[in-house]
Amino acid sequence: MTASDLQRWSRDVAEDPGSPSFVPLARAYRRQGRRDAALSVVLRGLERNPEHVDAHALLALLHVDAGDRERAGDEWEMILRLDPRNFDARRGLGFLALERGDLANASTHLNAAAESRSGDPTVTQALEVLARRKKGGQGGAAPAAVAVAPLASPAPTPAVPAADDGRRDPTRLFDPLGREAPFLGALLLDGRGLVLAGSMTPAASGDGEALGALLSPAVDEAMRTVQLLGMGGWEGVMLECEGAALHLAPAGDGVLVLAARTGAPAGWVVRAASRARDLARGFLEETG
Amino acid sequence: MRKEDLNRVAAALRDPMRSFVRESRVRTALLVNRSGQVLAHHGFGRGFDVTNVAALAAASHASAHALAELTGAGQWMHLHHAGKEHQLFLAPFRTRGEQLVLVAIFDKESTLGLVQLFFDRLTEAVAEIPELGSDLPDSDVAGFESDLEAGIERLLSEDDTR
Amino acid sequence: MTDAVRAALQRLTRVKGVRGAMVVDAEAGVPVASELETGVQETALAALAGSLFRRTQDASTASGFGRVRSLQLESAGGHLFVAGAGALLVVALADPAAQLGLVRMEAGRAAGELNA
Repeated sequence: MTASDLQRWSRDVAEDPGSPSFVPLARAYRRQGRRDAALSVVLRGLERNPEHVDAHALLALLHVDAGDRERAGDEWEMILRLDPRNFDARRGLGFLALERGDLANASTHLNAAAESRSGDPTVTQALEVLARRKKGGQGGAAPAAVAVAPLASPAPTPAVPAADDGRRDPTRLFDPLGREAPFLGALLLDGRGLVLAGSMTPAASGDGEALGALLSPAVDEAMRTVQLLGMGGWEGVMLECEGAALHLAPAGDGVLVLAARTGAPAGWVVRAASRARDLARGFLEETG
Repeated sequence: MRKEDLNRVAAALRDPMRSFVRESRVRTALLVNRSGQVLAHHGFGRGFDVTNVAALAAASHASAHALAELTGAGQWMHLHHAGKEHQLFLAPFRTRGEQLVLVAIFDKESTLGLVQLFFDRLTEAVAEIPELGSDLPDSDVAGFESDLEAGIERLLSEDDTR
Repeated sequence: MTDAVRAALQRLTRVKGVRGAMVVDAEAGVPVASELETGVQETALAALAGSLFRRTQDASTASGFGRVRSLQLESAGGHLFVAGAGALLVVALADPAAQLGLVRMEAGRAAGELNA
């Protein structure tokens, strides 16, 4: 997946939430750890494509990510109504049944999964656990942890800065703002859209460089609007989006991007942006 | 317009037209006179036949003008066609020398509002161009064929140098 | 344009510091209805507010933040507020010292009425 793929899928979905791009877009968001965005995209897509098997499968995984096994099970059941031999649904339901101790159902689903796709190591492992349990043996002590884990991709993590060894870590520039609940992160971008400092939490955006590139047309347009309307110098633009509140403001020859939770008070966003700008100014002065 | 005048006018229009295309974000823009001569062409225009577009724009201008007179609607302001992928904007304006028609083709990177806004600025910039002064011989029916040929010839020579 | 929308625009322009309010076609960036102080250029305001909203919308969705509900452009010379209302936009132009809370509230109400 490239930034241009993401941009194309996003554009498709913005124009038509039921566009075929909604599944790869939601999948990409999940890989980036942006579960809320993935959930929003997949739910809106399913409103228009209620029988989209891959979308239901992805939604099930998003529920697994959130620890909501019951809803994940509902999605897999839905898939089986549409496609009775579906491997993912059979495997998921088999794992859940195993977790509940419902050995009969676990056997039905896992064996069906093995028939659909022989040699899958996670199914083989689950069937071994099931066999031991049926015999009343050990080894089934924590089958769910073993079984369900392969369903979810590795949890994406933010770019966690290295332990503080006395040297300044630019990714932690805006950490003082992180103590306040609405704060999701901030990035200082240079004039070319490259990240100089700061970071975003996965809930906001996992990829700061891509974010800088994607937001730059909006920044250019804001500057042009101010100029053409004769409004004086550009000081910033605040966006209230479905997934976050964003504030973009000039900083040096670049831009400062601040993200906050949806519904964060507008005054707080403006004030936090001002504090972030102070931190950015200090950073730029120090680093020349 | 004679060939030598046309080359001078085309050179004078280059900057204002480039600016219009950049600011309004249209895919392509042409300035055409009533004879269908292309005085300027900027942007990405490889997907269609420029000379045909110019001739049709001149014809559209003539029919819209006639329709406006017939119905007492006065001067027509612009024609806008919103297609699924591309939109077309045609608008006449008067210079000191003659009446020109702007043809702009744009997609979702632009909007009708932006095109109108920067069209107004284009007309102001073009009005300042001395090469479009009133002393230029205007086209008439007899000169139509040769005018059109001069426009096509200039377009082809521009193509060679691109 | 309904009387309710006209009334909403008038409420917006009564807020201290507001120099103009308008409803804009989001797709075309052209004015649908407006209440503007003398000197405010209607065509330019509609075109630029529409274009800014669209660009930020594209950027926001591409970045995974979803659709933009509203935006507030801040500058030394004033504020531009744009709220999405389906196929339309509510736009307000205000002085630097305007009561922004009220502007945001009235623009949001107007957008809600247009969406209803």
